[in-house]
Amino acid sequence: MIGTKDLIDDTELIVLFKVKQSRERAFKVLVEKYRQRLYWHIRRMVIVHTDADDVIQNVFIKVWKNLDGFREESNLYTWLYRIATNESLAWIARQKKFSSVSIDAEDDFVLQRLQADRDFDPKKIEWKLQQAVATLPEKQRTVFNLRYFDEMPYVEMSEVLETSVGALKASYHHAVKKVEDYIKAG
Amino acid sequence: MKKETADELEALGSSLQHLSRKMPFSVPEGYFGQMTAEVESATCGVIGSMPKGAKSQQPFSMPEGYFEQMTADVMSKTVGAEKNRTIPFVYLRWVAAAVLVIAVGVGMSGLFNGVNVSTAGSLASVSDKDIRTYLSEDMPTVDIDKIADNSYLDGIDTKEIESYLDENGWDDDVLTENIN
Repeated sequence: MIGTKDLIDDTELIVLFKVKQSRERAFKVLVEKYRQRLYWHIRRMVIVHTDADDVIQNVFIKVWKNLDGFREESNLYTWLYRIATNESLAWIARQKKFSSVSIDAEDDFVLQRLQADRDFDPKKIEWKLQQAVATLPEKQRTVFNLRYFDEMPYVEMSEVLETSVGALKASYHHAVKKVEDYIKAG
Repeated sequence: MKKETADELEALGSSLQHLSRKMPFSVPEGYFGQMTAEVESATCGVIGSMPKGAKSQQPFSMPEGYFEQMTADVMSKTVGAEKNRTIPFVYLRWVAAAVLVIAVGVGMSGLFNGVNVSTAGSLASVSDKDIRTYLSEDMPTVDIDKIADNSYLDGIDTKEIESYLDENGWDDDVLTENIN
C-alpha cells in the first residue's frame, strides 16, 4: 500500500502506476511529489500564476496519458521537467503568435509580463534578478533557471533539453555574465 | 545553494551566488495545501510533507489554496475523466442492432438456400468498419422489432418470396439490401 510520497521512489511509482489497482494512487503521489518543483519551473518561464496553473495542468494530463509508455531507462524526474519545459515554451510561442505585439516587442514578452505583476518592485534585488533573467534569450533563460534556481546537474539538464553538457555549460556561463552585468548596470 | 552550484559561480567570478534566490512572485495563499485536500477527497490518497526544495521557494505568493485546487483539477481531468468514460448508449444500440440484423439476414439466407449457415462464422468474416458503415448509412430504415419477431415476413406467401428471389437473385447481398 502506498504511504507518503516521500517513501516511494520514482521506480516504484512507475511500477505502481502500471498496475491497474494502484494506478490512481500512484499518480496522485506523483502529482504531490512533483507539483511544486514543476510549478515553480513553469512559473519562472511564463511568469503569470494563472498561466502557470494552466500549463502545469496540461503537463500532468500528458503525464497521465503517457506514463504507461514511459521508458524506464530515462529518469522520471528529467522526463517530467522535459514535458514541463516543452509545454511552457510552446505556451509562450502560442502567446507570441496570437498577441498583437510587434516582432520587436516579442523579445520583451517575458519582461513585460514580469513588469505587469502587481507586486513588481524594481528596487528589490529579487525583482531585479528576475528582470535580468527575463532579458535572456529563451533557451539561455531556460538553462539559467534550471541551473541557478533548480540547481539541476548538467547531465540531467542535458536529458531535459536534449543538448550536450558542453553546450549547456557554455550557455549557462554566458547567461551568468549577462545577468550579472544587467544587475550591475543597475 | 549547493556547493557544486556555488563553486561554479565562484569559478566564473560571479557574485550571483551571494544573491537571494527568493521568488518575488505571489501565489494564492494555501494554493498547494488546498490542492492536496481536494485530491484527498477525490481519491482518498495519503499526502505527505512538502517536497525537497520547496521551502526555498515559499516566499513567493500564490492564490490561497492553489496547489490543493490544482491537484483536484488534475485528478479530475485525468483519473476522473477516465472513470467517467463510458460506452455511449446509442453506440451499444447500434452494435446490438448490427448483430441482430446480420443474424436475421444470414439466417434467412440459410433458410431460403437450404444451407446450414453458421451465424458466428458469418459475423466473424464481417469487419467492424463494414458494420459501422452499414449501420450509419442504412440502419435508420430498418424496423428492428419486426425483424426480431419475424413479423416482417408475415402475410407474404412463400411462393411470392421464391418468385421474388428468382427474379432478383439468391445471394446474401440482395437479401440484405432488400430487407432495408
